[in-house]
Amino acid sequence: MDVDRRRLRRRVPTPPDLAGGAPLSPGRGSGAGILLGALPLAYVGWFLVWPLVAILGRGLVPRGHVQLGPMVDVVANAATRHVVVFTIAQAALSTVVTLAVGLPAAWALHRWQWRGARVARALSLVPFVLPTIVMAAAWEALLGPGGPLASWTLVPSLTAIVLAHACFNIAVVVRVVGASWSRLDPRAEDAARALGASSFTVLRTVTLPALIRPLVAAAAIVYLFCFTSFGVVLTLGGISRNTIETQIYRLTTQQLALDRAGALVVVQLLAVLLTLAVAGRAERRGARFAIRSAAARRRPDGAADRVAIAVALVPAAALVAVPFCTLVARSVSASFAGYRTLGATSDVLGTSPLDALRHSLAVAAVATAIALAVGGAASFALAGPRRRVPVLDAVVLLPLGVSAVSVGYGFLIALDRPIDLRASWWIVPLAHATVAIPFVVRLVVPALRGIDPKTREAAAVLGAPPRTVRRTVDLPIARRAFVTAAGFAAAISLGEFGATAFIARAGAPTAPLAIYQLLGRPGTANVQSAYALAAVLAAAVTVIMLAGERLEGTL
Amino acid sequence: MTLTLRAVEVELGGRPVVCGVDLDIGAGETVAVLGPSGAGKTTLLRAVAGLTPIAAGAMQLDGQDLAAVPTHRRNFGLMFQDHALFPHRDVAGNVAYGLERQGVDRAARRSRVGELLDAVGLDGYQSRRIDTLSGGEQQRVALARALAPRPRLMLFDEPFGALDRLRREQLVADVRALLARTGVPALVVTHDHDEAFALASSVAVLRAGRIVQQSSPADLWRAPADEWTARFVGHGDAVDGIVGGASLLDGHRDVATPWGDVPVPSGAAPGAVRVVLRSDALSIARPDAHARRDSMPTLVGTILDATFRGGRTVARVRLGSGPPVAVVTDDAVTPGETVQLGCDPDAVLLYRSGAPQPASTSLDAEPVAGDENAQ
Repeated sequence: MDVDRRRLRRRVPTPPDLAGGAPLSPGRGSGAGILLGALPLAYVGWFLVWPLVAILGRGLVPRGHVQLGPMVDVVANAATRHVVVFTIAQAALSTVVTLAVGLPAAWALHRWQWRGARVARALSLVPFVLPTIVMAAAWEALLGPGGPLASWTLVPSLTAIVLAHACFNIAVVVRVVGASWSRLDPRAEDAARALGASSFTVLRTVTLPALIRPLVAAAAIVYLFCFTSFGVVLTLGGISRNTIETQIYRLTTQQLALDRAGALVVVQLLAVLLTLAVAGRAERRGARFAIRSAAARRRPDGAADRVAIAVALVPAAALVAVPFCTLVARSVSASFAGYRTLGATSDVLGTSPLDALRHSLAVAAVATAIALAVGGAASFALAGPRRRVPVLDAVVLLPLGVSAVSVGYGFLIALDRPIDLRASWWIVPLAHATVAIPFVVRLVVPALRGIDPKTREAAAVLGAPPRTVRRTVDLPIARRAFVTAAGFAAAISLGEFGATAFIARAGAPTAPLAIYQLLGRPGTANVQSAYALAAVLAAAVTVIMLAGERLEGTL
Repeated sequence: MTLTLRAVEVELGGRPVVCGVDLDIGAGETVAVLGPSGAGKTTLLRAVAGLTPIAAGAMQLDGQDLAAVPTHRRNFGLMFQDHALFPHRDVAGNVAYGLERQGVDRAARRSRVGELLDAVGLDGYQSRRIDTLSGGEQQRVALARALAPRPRLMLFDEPFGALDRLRREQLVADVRALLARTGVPALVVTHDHDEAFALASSVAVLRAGRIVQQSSPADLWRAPADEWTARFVGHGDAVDGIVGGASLLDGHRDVATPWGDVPVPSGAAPGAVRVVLRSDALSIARPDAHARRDSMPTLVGTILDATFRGGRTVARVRLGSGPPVAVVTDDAVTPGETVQLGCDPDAVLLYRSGAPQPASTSLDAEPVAGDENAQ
């Protein structure tokens, strides 16, 4: 499920939009400009395209010549069909539940301005940046053995998976739909009401049609997140409930069936691309309604409004707050036993949970630096003249269509050449950076494109060569986006699980991996350590994200 | 400093937008390029700045070929309509930007910034944030920023379009004074003839990428080169007319138009013409003032409406079967009133007939040049 952080809330403009605005550097393409395009191309080529080619080779050309046999076997296999059906069913169910809980919350948070609404809006985004494994741990803490709701015996179950998915995808719905909802011109609804429509009719005939684009966009994102979900399914689904992602993992690591795993990766890739295409079509069909540039939120008027807002918020708030409060409560139980043993070497991990956290922080720092450098260079090249690096746009955003598990699997089978990186410390930050780069690009490119080209031209006329324009105009103006991108890249790396599960060396787990391994072993001590580490990791991610915001605020 | 453009052509997206423009700007001279939106003005200006490459022709500053000089080495000053100030720098930081690029040291920068801000009337604004400034103040900062590095040439793109009339007149006066004091040659592009006339000693009219006329503001207004230019600088609609033979009595000639018989200069050749009445051609002839030139034919029209503008009354008058004509008068007029009009033959503009002039009715749509702002 780590894939989800990679998909941004906003759709990136299609390539024709790149034509807008003047070139970053007027005149001929400078050497630096070509380098800006070449660096990301080389990186994505080495750390994504090459692994993907290797996967396709495993799936389609296993013994030196094209063989559709393994592919056909996998697709025709009843067990595979079961996995695919389960993947689609749980994703669809999760999407429906997320929308059912998230839409009222979006309405309450973004349509109204009440005391504390601003804080609640900020809080509603927190689950989205938390590591998926922390999410899984929180639901395990609530529903699993020893938890307050253990008697419901919901772990392992489809219900637990769906609840966990809904829990952090609510943030997507609130963010994507709420942003549009808050800016919807209320006068259209007022007009309908004046024409005799009841509240429900207004919702059905005016409000929802106006929100069709963000609704479809949010539903598509949530569906894809759940479709490629890994950590949650692995933890809460048990052995018998497998999605394509977990099946790839099990085939690779437990059954060593690399051919079948490769074929499944291809199936997964096609399914993701199909979903993106269908969602894109549906979204384009939706009407574009008149929206305001600024939010038009209403103040609640009377008790009826307040009750409606509260009723709309309770399910979402409960779904998010209850598991996390349980996680924190269980992590501090037995007088902080879980925290007191964080520094001790664990038999399960071969190292201490604290070392795993240190490892994660070091990896996150390096991965963030790489993602910012490569993603930043790609952003400058993409926001520049259109034809300089024609395929860059597609290539840089390619990781969005590839699940984290596919990245990990590809790293595992492909990165022995040209340099064998598989046993290197660097392979984990490299994988995390690969996952984070499209995210950086999606945050930074709009910021760079948003800079008035005339500002750059003014700098050029005043004597600044292209390099200086980037340093003195683009970077300072887009600083907010870079800071946000750095925060997200760090959060992605700290929470990355799907790819890491394949490539982390034994005895050197990252924090999410350590949590997963501790949760999977019997023993109160292990579970308490897992909850403590999950709580610390959640706090670390939240602090890093808030620090990014804070840093930006004070600068 | 002399800027010379010879047969300059600029293409945008494969379409010619500027076609064979010749232009000279001498030291201390300010030339305005005046044209409707879409005529290619901004593209021409961007080409001079080096922001858009030229497809053909030559561009020289004091004999130095500019084609090979990238924008950042030209040392020109450019002022955009929407300022394009650096939002992340304060006022002083904006004005100092060009000086930093020239490697001017901090102390010298500070004094030059102070000097410029003083010159544009913003002394003491050094540490103000850009977003706290009014539109006029931002425009002044943009002017100071452009002038600070002592540019070899100043370029203005619709410089004052966004300002209200009062600020605009004040700023135009200030800019004139600054340009005169520094002796920097300047190129102004604008669609507003008042702006062009106020700033420039010479105005070039650009239409669909070509310069149709270049002359002093007074000559441009008095004798527009063609029917389209006449309409563009604010004169009336053109109609077809036939110039008749000279009168046997006093030798004056008339042109027969839908408005009636209008006197023309005595040198006019007989035949078919297009006729434009300059906006000062007609005057309302009151019966008591009538005797002055009794040989002058009198036109009779009906007042359609009247607008009070600039201390005088501008009346629209129905005259014969022609399009309504504008008459400026100091007297009060009433819609529906019948008036007699005198006509100054020297203010009747005659153009060659025959060539179709569709643009005379669509000043703001130039299909040839397209949208010059779509870079």
